[in-house]
Amino acid sequence: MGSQARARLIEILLVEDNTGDIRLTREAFKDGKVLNKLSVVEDGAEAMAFLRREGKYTDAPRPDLILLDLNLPKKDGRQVLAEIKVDQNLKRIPVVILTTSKSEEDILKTYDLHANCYVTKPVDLEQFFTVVRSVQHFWFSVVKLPQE
Amino acid sequence: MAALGKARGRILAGMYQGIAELEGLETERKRLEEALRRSNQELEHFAYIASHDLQEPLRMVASYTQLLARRYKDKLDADADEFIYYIENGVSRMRALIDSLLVYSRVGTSALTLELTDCEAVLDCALTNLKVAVSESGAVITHAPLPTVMADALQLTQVFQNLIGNAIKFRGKGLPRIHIAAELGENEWLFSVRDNGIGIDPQYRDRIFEISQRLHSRTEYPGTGLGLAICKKAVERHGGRIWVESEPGKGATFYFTIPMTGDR
Repeated sequence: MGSQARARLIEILLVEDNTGDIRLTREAFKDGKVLNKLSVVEDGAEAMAFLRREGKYTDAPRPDLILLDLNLPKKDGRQVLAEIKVDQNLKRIPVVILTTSKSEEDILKTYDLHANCYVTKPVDLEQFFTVVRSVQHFWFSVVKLPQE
Repeated sequence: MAALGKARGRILAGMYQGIAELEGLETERKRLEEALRRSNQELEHFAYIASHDLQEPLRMVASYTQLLARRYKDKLDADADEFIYYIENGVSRMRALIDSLLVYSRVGTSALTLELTDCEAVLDCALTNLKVAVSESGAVITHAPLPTVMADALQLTQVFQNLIGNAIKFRGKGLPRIHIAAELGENEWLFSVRDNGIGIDPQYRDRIFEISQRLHSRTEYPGTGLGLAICKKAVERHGGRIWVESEPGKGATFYFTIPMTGDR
């Protein structure tokens, strides 16, 4: 990753309906070392509108990473994942499933739908912060993201 | 002659009436049994939903308390630290209780996967889960050869884990010594978990298997009060029985049976 990429602001889309969790994720991302901007939508339908830049989202930034919860109102997270990964314009964006579910079934199903990875939200705050730091480090420092 | 005929007729009528009554009672019994089964299932389903749905708000309380402590660390006095300690302590106890309730309700409602289960492997698994408690207490755990039985491996592991965990927890002054054995009975295996701990007063030997029936205060011996209730439910779902033989100060031996045939 060149210095040009490191200086760039990383755009992240968080799809999460629990406002308490939204705030916690914001705090965790603020804690990290990477310069990033977190956009938040609270249901699956808004998520697709944001990604497709429809309606009020015409000027929405294209996310470098999507953090997706599974249990969402209007359109379920699994549905959102499926739609992203078949959309020619969107399927390259890495999707990190960030959910409280530990269910084997959920893990298998989301990997089947081509989620890039699956993270269970830790119950402990410090662990949650560590996990978010790991996500930032891995996806923004270690990994090469597609240049679009 | 006619009188004999009449008498016979009356006897037959009586018999038929008796049979009809028995059939009626049998139908009624089946109906009540079904109603009871359904009611139990609803209760256990409720316990599952309640314990599952309670986890999220609890997580919010825990996370934000920790966030407060973290963010305002330098601005908080000793009193505030103590208050936060009590909140966090309450949260972790609540979490343990909810986890236990979830285990209890799952043991009661989930489908039983009966398969050939090597009890030595099950014991191994339980001891691995208890690794920390075993090493911290210096417990000496021995066992006789254990059989392979038709059982739900996960539930059987839970039973061993809870019984051995208790044996370690309620230890006496010396090093805890725990011995696990199995004996072949008539159409069943009889397992035993013997310890040299503080023992149990015989008058409580049924009560300890009830939910939330603790004999000691939480500061003396921590725990949710559900461990033995979970054992009892798991054993009974297998068609077995569980009981304890003990005297105060003389250790305890917990026995449970696993039937050999499909008598669930």
